[in-house]
Amino acid sequence: MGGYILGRILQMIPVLFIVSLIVFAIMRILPGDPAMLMLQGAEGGVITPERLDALREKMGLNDPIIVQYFNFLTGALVGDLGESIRFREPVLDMILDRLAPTMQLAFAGLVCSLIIGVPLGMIAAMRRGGWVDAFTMSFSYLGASTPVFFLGLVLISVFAFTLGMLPSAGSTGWRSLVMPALTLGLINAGLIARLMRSSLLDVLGQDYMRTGRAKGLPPRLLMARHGIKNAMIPVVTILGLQFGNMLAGTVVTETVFSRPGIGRMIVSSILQKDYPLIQGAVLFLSVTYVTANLIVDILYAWLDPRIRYDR
Amino acid sequence: MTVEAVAALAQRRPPARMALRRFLRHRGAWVGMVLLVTWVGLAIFADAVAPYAPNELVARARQAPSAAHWLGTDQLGRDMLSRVIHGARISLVLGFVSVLFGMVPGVTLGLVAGYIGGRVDAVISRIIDAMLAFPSIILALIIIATLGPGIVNVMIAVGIASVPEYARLTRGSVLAARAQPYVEAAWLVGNRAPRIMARHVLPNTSGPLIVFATLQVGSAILVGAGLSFLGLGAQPPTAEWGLMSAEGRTLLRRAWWIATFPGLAILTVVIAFNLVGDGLRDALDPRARNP
Repeated sequence: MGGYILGRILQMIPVLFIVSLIVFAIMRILPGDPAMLMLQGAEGGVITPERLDALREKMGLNDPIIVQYFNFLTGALVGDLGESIRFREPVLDMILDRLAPTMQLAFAGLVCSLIIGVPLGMIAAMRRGGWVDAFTMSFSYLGASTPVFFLGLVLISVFAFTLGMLPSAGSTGWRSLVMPALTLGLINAGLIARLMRSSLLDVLGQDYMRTGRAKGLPPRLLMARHGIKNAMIPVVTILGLQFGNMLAGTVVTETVFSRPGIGRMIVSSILQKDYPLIQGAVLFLSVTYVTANLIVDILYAWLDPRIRYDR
Repeated sequence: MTVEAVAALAQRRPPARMALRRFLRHRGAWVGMVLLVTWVGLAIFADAVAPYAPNELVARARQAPSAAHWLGTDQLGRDMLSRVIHGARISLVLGFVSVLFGMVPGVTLGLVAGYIGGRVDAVISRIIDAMLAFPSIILALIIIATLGPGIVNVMIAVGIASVPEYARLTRGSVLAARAQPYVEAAWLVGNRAPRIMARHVLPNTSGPLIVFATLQVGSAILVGAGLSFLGLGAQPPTAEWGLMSAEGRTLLRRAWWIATFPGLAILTVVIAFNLVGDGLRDALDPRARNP
């Protein structure tokens, strides 16, 4: 297991390297001079050639591109992601301030999608061809086709404006997390339900299930001990992907529910052309996504020992 | 059955016709096709079908749906029905164009990586892996950050964000096709690699690509509308569904219809593409059908 984990971590290095290259490239392909933008964004920013040159020197923009990349990479490795043009605050501090609400939302969304998707998929498989099955398939189509912002607005209309049960915006208290998490959860639950359904159908046809029935295991015990455990494996493998979907989904959800977070910060930084902030936040989200996938892969190998030896 | 009988059978029912028959027997695909034809028709004939021009001020602002304005009027007094109908043009064009932007480079990269193999494959595969390390909306956001907000830039961004998926899909199909005897035969009779790829490998890997591209049109429309909702895509006064929903967001309590109808429009178009895509998959690859 140790060797497998080490191997997977080593595989991450080239991926993260190329990710850092892509993110670094944002600042360089841009039309215009980041130093000029920074001065324009500064309060009372009178742009003189001296000030511009001094800032260019300070930001390292006069160095050769390879040196700039090296500085960016070494900075990122020790947590120095530069300074926001608009807020004049370290990018890392701004990300860390908003990390908790974004992670809460992504995790709550993931939990919602599992709580809804797994049982729905299970019942659909066990009652194949019945109304729950038909409902699950329609639900999964709806989930895959509904815009996140639209579902969010529908939930606000119903639960905040009509029923008055939940707050329509903000991030204080668990009640403000319910609708955003439900929005992300419902959108993704369909995929999980569909996957769980087909996986359980596959498992139900396996020899070990027939053996279990033949030796007289009660159906519930058989399902709990052999059925669900094996059927969950494909669901676990896509958890990393789902977590990425959740993180990406926070970009829109945080805007719909006016929640503070990294996603909303990225959107406003793009609109305000705050490039160091965009660069830092995107790098941070990507590294989080890659790491989540690594953790899921390790979890998967632990659940299914065959994986460790196949690769 | 004799060889002649098998040949006769194959002649009577060519694979394309069998696929078409399976597609036409697919209930979901029919529903999808009806929805799709309706939306495409509305988009093409928007000027003739819509009661008003999309940006014409026709009545009092925020009028609820009524006989005069079936879907009500928006915050400025424009007819919502006309705006939703005209919005179909933008969303459908966005869907198709971004698929093209993703498919052409993606398929080329996948073909080259899969067919040439070796170091070329290793380099392309690493780049694909790295691009897949970004959730596609984040990748699209990076590109928008570079190009600036706007509907054309959204098409480019959504397209490029899907390049790695096309590349991975094509590479996989090419690796499988390369091992087939017909590729070896084409090589032995003196064809060169580009011709073999274009004439023999690509057509034989097109089934999964067609299915993926169809589903991708729907998801491009979703992502594109999401970006416009965030203010990064279409700009006012364009009648774009995502933007219209964003404009209606703050008026949700007083005028629910402004955000709701554009959202429903997106939902029905995307469902249409998903249903047709699933129908195509079942028709082109019956083994992949849902159990």
